[in-house]
Amino acid sequence: MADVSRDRGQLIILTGLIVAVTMVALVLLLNTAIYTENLASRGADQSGREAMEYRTVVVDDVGELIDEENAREHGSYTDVRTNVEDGIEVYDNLTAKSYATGGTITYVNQSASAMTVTRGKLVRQTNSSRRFRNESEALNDWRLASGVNDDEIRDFRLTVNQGDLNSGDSFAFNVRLDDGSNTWQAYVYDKGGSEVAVSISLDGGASTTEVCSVSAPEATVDLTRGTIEGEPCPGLDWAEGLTSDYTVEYRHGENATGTFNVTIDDTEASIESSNLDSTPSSAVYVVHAVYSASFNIVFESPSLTYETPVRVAPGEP
Amino acid sequence: MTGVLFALSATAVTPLSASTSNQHIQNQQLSEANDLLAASAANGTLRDAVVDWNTTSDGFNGSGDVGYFTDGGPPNWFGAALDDTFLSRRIAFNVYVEYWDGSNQKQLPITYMGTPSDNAVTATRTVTIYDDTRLSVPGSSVNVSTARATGDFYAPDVAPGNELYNVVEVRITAWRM
Repeated sequence: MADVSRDRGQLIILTGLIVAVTMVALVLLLNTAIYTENLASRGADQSGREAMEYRTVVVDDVGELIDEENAREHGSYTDVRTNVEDGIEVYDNLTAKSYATGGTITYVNQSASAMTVTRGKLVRQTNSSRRFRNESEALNDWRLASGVNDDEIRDFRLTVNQGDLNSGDSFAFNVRLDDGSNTWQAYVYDKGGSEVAVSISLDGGASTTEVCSVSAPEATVDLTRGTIEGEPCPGLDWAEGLTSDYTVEYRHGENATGTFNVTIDDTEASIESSNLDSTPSSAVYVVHAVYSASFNIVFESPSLTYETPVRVAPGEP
Repeated sequence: MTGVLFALSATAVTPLSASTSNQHIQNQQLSEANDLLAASAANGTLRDAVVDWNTTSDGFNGSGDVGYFTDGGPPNWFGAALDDTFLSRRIAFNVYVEYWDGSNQKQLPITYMGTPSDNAVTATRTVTIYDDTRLSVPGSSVNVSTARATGDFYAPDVAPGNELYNVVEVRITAWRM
């Protein structure tokens, strides 16, 4: 009897040990599998994300670079273009070095066949107390450009002084687009209570709809990006309802003061130079600019090679 | 019975067990750091943080004699976002600005909280500075190239004669305390 019970005890201990060893082995195996999968998937995911981030960073930075050079008001198109190209080259060298420390090769393909720079003009008024009249002050209703398409105009920013705006939207300063059959008008006016408001009219001014307003002594309305003081304004949809090339005009320019900037592709659209000074002045003027740049970017990490064409034209509608 | 107990305690520590070095926590911290950088880059506050430079004390604004911060982010939007994302959840972080000086890459701390642990994660983002980028110190209207001309800004102009000033890299290293 005593012998039998001793045998059973050994059996229980042995079974317990086998179960224990099996469980440890199983847990280890499963964990290794999960860990490996986790590591492997994380790596692949990372470089995909980094490649997209690189694309965003380059488009944003080169866009700013172009606008910074344009705002410097170079004397000729060759000057501004050379500066933009040199800037992109230096920028590319520095970012490539930064990314290289992370084991990634990046570059902007700047060979003549891969890179296109489009000529443009920057129309601007930098004198903040001046009314939005033409260069000679003779016209309140005047034309900035004609034959414009949505990918030929960008970064149209008005900064207006609230105190000098018209009260209410009738007779208010407005930007008028006309494609021959339809019109789009954006009115900027004083809504009362020191608020600057923007209204849209699609029927030549017969009826207007207020889309946004902001309380500020000085308000920046970005017509092509559709923002007011940097905040999105969903109803401000540039050239909504227009179907072909359009003209860009100011109406009631006497009813607003402030500054504005707009960059126009003058290889496609034509700028109304008779209404503008041809050199920087205290009135409204036009300077040489780069409208857009297109090139290829390349991103190579150990697990991913990514090449894509990009077009840089910040603030296009 | 002892065998089962032994097995249970043996399974307690694995790479996926909840701990400060857990893989998921690292993944999470990394994406938080990346997203924080992307968000601040998008609204311009990352650049403001890089040029938040006090020309008198020659250090990041508000950091006193040391030139960098040791108890949290800098007193600006980016710093507040860092504190909200990491510090309030007991995650320590170091933030560096790396810039090019000729062909050398130099490193300057904005926040230094100590030596990172083995399980720290690192996220980076490049920020471009232009000649007319103004120092974001309240009340200052000096731009970086003017400040540099009097020896009061850390990074040099890498492209003289061009609007591009320098391309700096912001590096966040975060780890659980």
